[in-house]
Amino acid sequence: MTKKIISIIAVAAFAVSAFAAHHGGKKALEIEFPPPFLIGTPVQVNLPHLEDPGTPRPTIMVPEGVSNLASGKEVTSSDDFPIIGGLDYVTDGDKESEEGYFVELAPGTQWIQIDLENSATIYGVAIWHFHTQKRAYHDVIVQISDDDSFESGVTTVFNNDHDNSSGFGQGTDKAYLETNEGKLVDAKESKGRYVRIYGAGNTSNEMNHFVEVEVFGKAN
Amino acid sequence: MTLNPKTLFRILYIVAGIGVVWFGISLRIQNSEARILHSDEAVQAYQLWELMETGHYQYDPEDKHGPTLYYLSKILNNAVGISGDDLSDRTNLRLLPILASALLLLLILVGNGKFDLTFLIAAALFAISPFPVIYGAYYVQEALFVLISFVLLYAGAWYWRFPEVPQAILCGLLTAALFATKETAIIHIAAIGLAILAMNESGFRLSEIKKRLPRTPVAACFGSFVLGWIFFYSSGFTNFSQLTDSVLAFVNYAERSQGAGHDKPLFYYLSIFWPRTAEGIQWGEAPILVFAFLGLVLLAMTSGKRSDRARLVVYYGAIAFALYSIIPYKTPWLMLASYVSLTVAAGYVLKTLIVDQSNSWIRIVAIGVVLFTLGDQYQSTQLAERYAADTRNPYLYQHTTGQFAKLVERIEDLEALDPDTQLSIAVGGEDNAWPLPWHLRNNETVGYWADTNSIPALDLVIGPAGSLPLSLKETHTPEYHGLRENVLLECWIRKELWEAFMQTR
Repeated sequence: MTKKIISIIAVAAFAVSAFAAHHGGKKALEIEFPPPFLIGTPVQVNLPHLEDPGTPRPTIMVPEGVSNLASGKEVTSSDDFPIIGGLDYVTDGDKESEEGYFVELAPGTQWIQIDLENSATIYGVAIWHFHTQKRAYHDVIVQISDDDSFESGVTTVFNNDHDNSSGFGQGTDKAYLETNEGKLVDAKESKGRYVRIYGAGNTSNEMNHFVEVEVFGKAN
Repeated sequence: MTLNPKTLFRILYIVAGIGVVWFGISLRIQNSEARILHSDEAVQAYQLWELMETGHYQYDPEDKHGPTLYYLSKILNNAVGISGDDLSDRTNLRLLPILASALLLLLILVGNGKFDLTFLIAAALFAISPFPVIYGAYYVQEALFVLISFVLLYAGAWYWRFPEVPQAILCGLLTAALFATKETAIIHIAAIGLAILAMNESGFRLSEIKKRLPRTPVAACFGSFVLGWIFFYSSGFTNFSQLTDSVLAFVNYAERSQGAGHDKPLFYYLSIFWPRTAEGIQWGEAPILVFAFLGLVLLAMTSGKRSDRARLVVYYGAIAFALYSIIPYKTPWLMLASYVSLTVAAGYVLKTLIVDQSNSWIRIVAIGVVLFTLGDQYQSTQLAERYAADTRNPYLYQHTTGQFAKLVERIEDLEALDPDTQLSIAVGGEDNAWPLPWHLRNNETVGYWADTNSIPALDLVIGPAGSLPLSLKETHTPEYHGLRENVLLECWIRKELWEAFMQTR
């Protein structure tokens, strides 16, 4: 009996150590969400090419020391003078979507870019657009690069531009509805100093909104 | 040569008046360019296009309105060389309301028959404020309707002073034109009548009313009204079958006034102009609301012939505002006539501060207030242009989202793949996804299915999100497009067509 117990403990210990070795001592990335706050009448949306609203977030395993590198970092944009909000809102840590928490960029394809100040290995990018109304943002494209002009060494980690209307190639990722949980994108340990996120309006209006972006990584 | 102050003022008034009208027209054209068609505009546009292309017009007592908008648009378009094909240009289409709005501006400027600063300020406010800019370039009946209603108001006041046959005939014809433009004429006739009676101390006395309604002018008014009615509703004495429908329409409109899905609370109209923030955008017209309220009180409390015309206009708008507020059915454009009165009431207060004060400091401050108010209104108009079709724009109602243009563009791109063959398109849903039928008017292979379950799998299948058969998934690729607030459309594109399209990207 004692031998049996020792054997079970040994097998379990082996399995745990093997799992830990496989993930390099990693743990699942955890994100803090703002409370849900929906205004207006919720819209029933049943679209085959939309991500099912109940789809679980991807589990991204990250090593010790990974943190939100975007926090407080400088944000630039294709729209230098947003009419509502400021670009600094994107990295200020406030994820609520009410007035005073989001920046509104001009219509059409626009981008924001975060300078992480150092090249880093990036595990995940979490994006919150305006989320107090049920809506989907068009042509969400997430790119990482060491080139601040994004002309070379660009890795695209997410692209749901299904008709290539923004001109970065046809994306295969699904459109999704905004919620307080935002969108967590698996960055697959891409390396770069700059993170750029595109958008081209949303299903409610032609504007582009960003509430918050978090970039989870570790400086190289 | 030196000009005396009176002459100088008149010259400045004329120059400023021309500037006001010119600026008002350019703001309306700018807003028109920026704003996609509302579904109601598209329905009216379709009627006009059919009339221009085929010469055919049929009055519909169930829904549409009277014939004047379409016939006058056709006459104007023919005069300036706009064809049916040219109506795809938004400003071409909206030319008649823009012209009516410009004439309304002129009427405000000259309506008093003298050079009156009240009306110059009112015209300036009406020219640059967001609400009249939008609805002065909106292809519905309202701008034309309000223009006719103000001419009728002035004609009615004229008749009250001189109850004779020519004035009576004019009133009868204008009343017929008002009814033939929109059935809500009945509310405005009541408001005009009450405003004229309220202008006179003994106006509500039965004996006074009888005195103003001698038999011959009343008969002349009624006769000209009936003749005008028959002329307009029979399409110039050519189609008399519409006359019965034109009377039956009032039954439908009486039912509709109860709400018909557009019922709003009592203070809805006030809330449009009341200051508010919508998703970070500051809206509202607090200064003009305050001045208009003060103007109404001031005009009601004082008397004097110099302010009679301002009083008449303000009473008319205030009564129309009250009547529309108590009717459950509400849409913002119904406020256009009341907005004229709002500007006149505000103009009256501002003029009083400038002209009737002997203290020059008060005058200087008052001029500053006028400039500030004009600047504030202009800024709101710029905002309304930036958010020309945005759900946050408080002046709009169930407006088509700018995103809808992408669906139209998609259809055009797909049709361009094979210009010799028209795409077969099935549109599902009870409201036919208006304004889509307007954009598809030249396609002869479009069908509309109210029951989305029986919709055929044509090249394109379009309908409300979630309502189309999922079997389309086998043969088609789906997209989604916004139509208006809380309404999404699915657009299923035949897979081969989609693949051919993607080859071009």
